[in-house]
Amino acid sequence: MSQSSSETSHIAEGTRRTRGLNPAQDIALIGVFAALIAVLAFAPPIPIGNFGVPITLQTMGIALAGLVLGPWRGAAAAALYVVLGLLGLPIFAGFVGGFGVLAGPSAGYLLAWPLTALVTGFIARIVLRRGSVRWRVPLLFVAAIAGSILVTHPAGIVGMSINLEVSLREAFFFDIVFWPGDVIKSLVAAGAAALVHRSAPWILARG
Amino acid sequence: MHRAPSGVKVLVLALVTAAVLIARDPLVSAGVVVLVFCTALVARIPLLMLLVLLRRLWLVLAVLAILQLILNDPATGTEVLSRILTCLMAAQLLLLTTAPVELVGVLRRILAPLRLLGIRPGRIALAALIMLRSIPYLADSFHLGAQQARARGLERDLRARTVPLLLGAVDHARNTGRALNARGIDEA
Repeated sequence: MSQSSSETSHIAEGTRRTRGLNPAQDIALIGVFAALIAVLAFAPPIPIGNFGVPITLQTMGIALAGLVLGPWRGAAAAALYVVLGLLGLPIFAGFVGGFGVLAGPSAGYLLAWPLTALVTGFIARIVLRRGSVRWRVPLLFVAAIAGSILVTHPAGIVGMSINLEVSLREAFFFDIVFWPGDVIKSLVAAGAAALVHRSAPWILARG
Repeated sequence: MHRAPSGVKVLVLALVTAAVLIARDPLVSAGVVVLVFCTALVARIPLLMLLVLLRRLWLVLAVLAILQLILNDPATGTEVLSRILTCLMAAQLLLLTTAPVELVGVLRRILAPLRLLGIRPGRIALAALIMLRSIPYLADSFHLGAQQARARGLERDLRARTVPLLLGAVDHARNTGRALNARGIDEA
């Protein structure tokens, strides 16, 4: 027990040192993952599985940012994406951008994303540092879905209720449509993130 | 309009959007739409380029219109839809007259006060530029991944379509970070 805690503190110390030494790598990761979120948002809905239910991939980019980059860099990537989109880059789904989206039905979801990445990132960091490798994928799935349930969906429901002039209850029923897709996306994101941490441990070393 | 300082344009857009969101009145929305069209005419932007937005978003708008008819009275529905459309139109006008790199400059100026908190706006602007540069690269990579998945008969497999993109992104970030380090640009 004492050994493991000293190991963790050693990792934390190393983290601080490497981060101080190599901010350029962090900047690059944040910029590239913000771009990844944008590219996933552009992707036309993909029919998945035997029934071909179309799934949009926007939120998967947010989950991946948290799972792969950890809380702070993940939130930074999501915030960069949201802020540049609000300033007017056409990087939101449907190639729209600008403050105008704040009037739309997705305003709540958009504004919640940096916080979602933060929550997912915190849980993911704990999982990656303390959890056993065997449980990594299921626990990363928990991290992704927790960010989604705790932050994205409540904010999205409130946003829809305000912008569409419907009650919270009605907004909640619109929101349910996204749940099955969310579970699938979180599963795939968890598997993919575990793969990245195995093949590119240099990210984790600074996570 | 193209030559107007981008910071001013962003500010005006923010104010107009706030006005429409707070007023919640179809008349205000209609007035702003007329204003947007007039500005577009002055700037010699074909109105069609603004209306393209309608074609791109017609499905979302149709779903919203139906929901409003079911849940609210037509008056509220009109107000909601006009509000959304107006704000998107105004944003589209900014988009058509401003280069993406200028917006990064605006971001940098907005964030300048953060210097007092010990955050360097230059680094954020650098991340934003890396993002702009990476979008075409990752879009190509995503497209390629989709073709490869189709070739393997896995076009409906979400994993087969996203994992190559993610690994490509990590690789790209690694190379970009090395390139920045090699040029000593970590002190932006």
